[in-house]
Amino acid sequence: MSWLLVALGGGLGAALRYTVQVLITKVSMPSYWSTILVNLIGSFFIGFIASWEVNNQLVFSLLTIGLLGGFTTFSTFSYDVVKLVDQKQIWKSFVYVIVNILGGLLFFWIGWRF
Amino acid sequence: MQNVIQVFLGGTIGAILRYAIQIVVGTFGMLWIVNVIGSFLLGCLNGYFEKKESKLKLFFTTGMLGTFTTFSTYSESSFNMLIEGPLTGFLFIIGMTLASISAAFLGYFFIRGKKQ
Repeated sequence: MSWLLVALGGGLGAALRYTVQVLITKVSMPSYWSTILVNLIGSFFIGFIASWEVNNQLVFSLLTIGLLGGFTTFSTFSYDVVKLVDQKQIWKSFVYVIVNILGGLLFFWIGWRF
Repeated sequence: MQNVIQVFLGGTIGAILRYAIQIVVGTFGMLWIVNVIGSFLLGCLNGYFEKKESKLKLFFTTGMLGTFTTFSTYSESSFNMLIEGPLTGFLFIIGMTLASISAAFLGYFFIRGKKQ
């Protein structure tokens, strides 16, 4: 059962992440903004769920591992940095890394205290 | 609509693989394995798809590898480690970021080669 919930959550998380990416491209913003958005929103909600202090396998499989694990992404974050450096935007790539990491920590904390 | 379905299906596989690794090696080991290997493979695939168009690109990149790697659990682990020991937490954060970005660099330039 937990495998099915992980798969379902992961699929939904990925589809949502893709939707954010499409919307960001539609408003002509660089695609790395969608990575920042999903990682910060995902970190907020994982903090929020952590604050419930429930030990429910269903919640854990569907929401934490599946949905939020799939909605946020580390590989796209890494590749965004590669693209920025390849375009010689070194400073922007630094700021981008800092925003993702500090933002992720900050939003986790906000979600946790929420 | 076809794109969303591709991403969804890739996402189910990526999540199952990540969960399997987490069960075997635990959360800490899982984060290192999925984020470093996933970043390397995404670099490789993006290098490959730059040279060769494919209808399955979204399935593998945004779907499978995007979901295989994860940022939310990374934020949670970083936060908890920072509270328990600031130095360990700091090293974990920097270490995983540098390792994953380097892996994506290696994969991308290894497959793409020099620009013509």
